Amino acid sequence: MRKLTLPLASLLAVVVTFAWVLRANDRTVPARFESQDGHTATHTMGDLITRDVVVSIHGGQIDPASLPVPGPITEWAEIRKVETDSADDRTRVRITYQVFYGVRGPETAELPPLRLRVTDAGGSTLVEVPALPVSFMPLIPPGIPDEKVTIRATRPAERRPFAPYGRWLSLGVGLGAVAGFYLLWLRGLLPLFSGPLPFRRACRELQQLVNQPSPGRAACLILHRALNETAGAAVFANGLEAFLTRHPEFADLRELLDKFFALSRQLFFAEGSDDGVYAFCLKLARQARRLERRRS
Amino acid sequence: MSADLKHTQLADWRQRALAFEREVCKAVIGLDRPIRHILIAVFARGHVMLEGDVGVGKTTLLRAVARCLGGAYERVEGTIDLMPNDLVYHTYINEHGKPQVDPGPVLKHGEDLSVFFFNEVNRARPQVHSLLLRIMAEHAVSAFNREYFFPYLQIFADRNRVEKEETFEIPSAARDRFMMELHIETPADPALRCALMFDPKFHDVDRLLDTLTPGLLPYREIPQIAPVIQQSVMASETLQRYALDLWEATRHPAAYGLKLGDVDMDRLILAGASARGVSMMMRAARVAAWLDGRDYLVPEDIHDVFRETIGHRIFFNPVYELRRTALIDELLDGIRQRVAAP
Repeated sequence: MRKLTLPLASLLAVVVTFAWVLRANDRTVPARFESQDGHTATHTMGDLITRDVVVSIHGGQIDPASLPVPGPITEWAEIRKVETDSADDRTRVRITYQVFYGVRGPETAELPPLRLRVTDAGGSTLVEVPALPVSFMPLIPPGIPDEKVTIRATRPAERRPFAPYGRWLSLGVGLGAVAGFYLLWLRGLLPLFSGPLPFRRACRELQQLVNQPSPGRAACLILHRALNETAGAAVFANGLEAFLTRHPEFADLRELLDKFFALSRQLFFAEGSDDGVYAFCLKLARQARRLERRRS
Repeated sequence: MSADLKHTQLADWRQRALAFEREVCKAVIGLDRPIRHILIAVFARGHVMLEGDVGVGKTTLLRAVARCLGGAYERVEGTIDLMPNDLVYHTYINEHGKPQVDPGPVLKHGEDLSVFFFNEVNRARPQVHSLLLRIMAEHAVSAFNREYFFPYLQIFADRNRVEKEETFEIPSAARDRFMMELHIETPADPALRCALMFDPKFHDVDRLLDTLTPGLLPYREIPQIAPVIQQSVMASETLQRYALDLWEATRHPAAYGLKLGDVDMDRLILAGASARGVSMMMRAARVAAWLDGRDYLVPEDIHDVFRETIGHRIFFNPVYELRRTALIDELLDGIRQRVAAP
């Protein structure tokens, strides 16, 4: 038994050492360039070219300072946009170029190489990305002199789906309308929806009487009508308490209403004078309108 | 008569009327409203029909009124075999063994008769109703080849609403002659009910009535003061228009937007208030205004007497007549609520 123990322990030590060495080696794998798009298709002046570069970074990250920045890079190309996207141990750098290479015949050119710096705990590594060859075709067909070139017809505008915008627009207009109605309702400016507002109408009608010679009787009639409409029945002096019980919002007007009925009684049934009746009715109607709005 | 004198006279009469009301209220508790209406009828020179359950105080009320009013009081009981002659005279064999004819309850007191109470009037035959109608309308009756006049007479009739067997429904023409129909109910106030049950004062009606001051109102002068009251209370143009609207609403309630549950409003009314009816309503309303101390009418005066003067003058189609008690109050309340004044 003892004869077997020693070789087994040695074997285990060798295996552990080997695994540790492998792991240490794995940690030290440097960042490296993996691939980029080919772009063998030909382009013409003004085309956008998207270049995808995949870099394996092994736990590091690309130094943003080493990324190309939007702007002109050669006399015929500029960078429009640079985006990065990391997943697992790889980072994809997407660079969008726009080229302005005017040629009279098919030609090949190269988008310049990139040098990306990947940093990790062990320091930084430079990753060389090779230049990207790009083929160009002339805009003017071959064999046609410049003066014979005709400008191509303007390309029609691209058709874009408007359905989503229409839905959003309808929703916005609908919400706005609801909010508007709510605000108007709060202000009591929607007679159709806020129920009848008899005293508001009474105030308006009373103001139209201002220049009449003896507006007292007409004013009383208008107020009686507003009271009756509010109550849903004819209101008489002896029914005032019942009215205020059903419409407590007007309770503050008890004294004024009492006085109003007394004035009305004198005016209509005792053939009294209408001096001061109009002003009193107007004052009462305005106060009632305020309370009525609060209720509505 | 000068205006000042008339004013003073009316004020004096008003104090007497209110004293009369207070006195009757001493003996009859819980019936303040019917007592006020009887007082109104007295000064409006109208006859009154009382309706209510048995034992609610109708007779006591009328006896109290008769005592405080003064003058002669007579009472007859309506029965199915009562004939008109029984009211006018009765015959019997006197103590000398000879037939004798004496005046009946109507003629017995001559023109001093001030209150005639016809109890259970719907038990009497239509012939009796006819006689009663004439006395009510003309304050006169023919007997023994001459006319007897009763210038101060006020007729009260009572109709028991519990029993309907062996009764003769009073025709609409007869009901229209009554200025008011009053519904007498047992008092709802528990304190008043306790008093009626436990206070010995109310157990002996004769003694109770003896405590009332008799003849508070000089009944012989009432026919003279009544027209003065009517003339002294003004009805403005607005009020006249309101009363006209009320009248029209009793005839065509649907035109005023009135609705009563499942009732077909176009078929409900067979006949609305009569011209005599609304005339009596206004007479009563004027007295109500006078009792309230005013010389002008207001809508509330009409409201005070609207149910009592108009309720029995509206006739429903037979299909609705059986529901009369429930419908009439609702109809009259609805009219009051629908018709506005001014």
